[in-house]
Amino acid sequence: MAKVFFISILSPLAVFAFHIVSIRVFGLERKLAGQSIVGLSALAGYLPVALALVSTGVLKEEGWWAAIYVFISYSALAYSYFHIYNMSETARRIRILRELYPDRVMSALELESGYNAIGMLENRLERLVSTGQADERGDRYVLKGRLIRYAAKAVAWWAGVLGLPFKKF
Amino acid sequence: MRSVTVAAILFFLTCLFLHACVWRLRLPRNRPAALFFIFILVPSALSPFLSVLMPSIPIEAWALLLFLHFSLSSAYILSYPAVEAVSPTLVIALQLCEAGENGVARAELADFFKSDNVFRPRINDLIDSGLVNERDGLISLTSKGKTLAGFFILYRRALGLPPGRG
Repeated sequence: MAKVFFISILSPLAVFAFHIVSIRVFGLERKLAGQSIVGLSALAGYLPVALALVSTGVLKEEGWWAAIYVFISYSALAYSYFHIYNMSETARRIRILRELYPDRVMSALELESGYNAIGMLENRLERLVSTGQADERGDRYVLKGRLIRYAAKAVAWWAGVLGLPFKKF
Repeated sequence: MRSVTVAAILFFLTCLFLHACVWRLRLPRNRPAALFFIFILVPSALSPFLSVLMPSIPIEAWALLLFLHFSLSSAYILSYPAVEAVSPTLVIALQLCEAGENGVARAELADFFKSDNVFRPRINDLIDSGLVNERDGLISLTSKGKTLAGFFILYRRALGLPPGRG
């Protein structure tokens, strides 16, 4: 059981390592959307995790449930990592924190002055198109990918369960 | 391993249920702290008692159970802002989804990105989470906010990326 524990704890390092290498060594950020790079890094991370399970004899000693355990925990942590990256890339809250770092004092108006609504919309549309989730047809956008469609519906549904208003504009 | 995996998933689902009940009864003011309390602190505090009540379960099994629970919880806690903060990307997706094959014009989508919808509510969230202070209309970081901002700045530098576009 100790081996399963250590493999699980160390597994997120695989995503981070692949992510750094894909940017610093291969410069993938110039060719692919940041979210796609993290997705690919997370997928690549399954390989060293699987190798660790086989090479340490965990699969033989503990059976398939150990592998299921490790893959569920790795998937959850890789998904968490994806969110951390995404926050660093697109979250407005993180941007506000960064602008105030370390000791700046600003009014809400000053913070807002750096906010570019059109740029923010463009970033998101560009990302949806580059990840194959939407199609640009002239000045109109059409939803293409199923992943984002189901994710949006699931989030709206869960917000309803929690009693939160998921505003639609 | 099978019972540990199943128990961890049930543990997580119990916390999820508890979270939904709390949110339904009364929406906490500091939601990140409330999520941390429900998903991390309560299970951490309960596990020593449970291990005494069930001595036949080895300590390693408890550690594995908690680790899987924490992994699932971190995935949920980090996804949660998308539900609460009305993620702009998901709002775009929902609008495109409703429009079907006709799609939506860029100008229509731009309505959501007005500052009132996306900027001021985020400052309020940061105040509620104790990450920034607002005094006499001036906003500054708390020590917690400084730590979080510092973490993200270091993280982007480690990756060799410029600051995010937020």
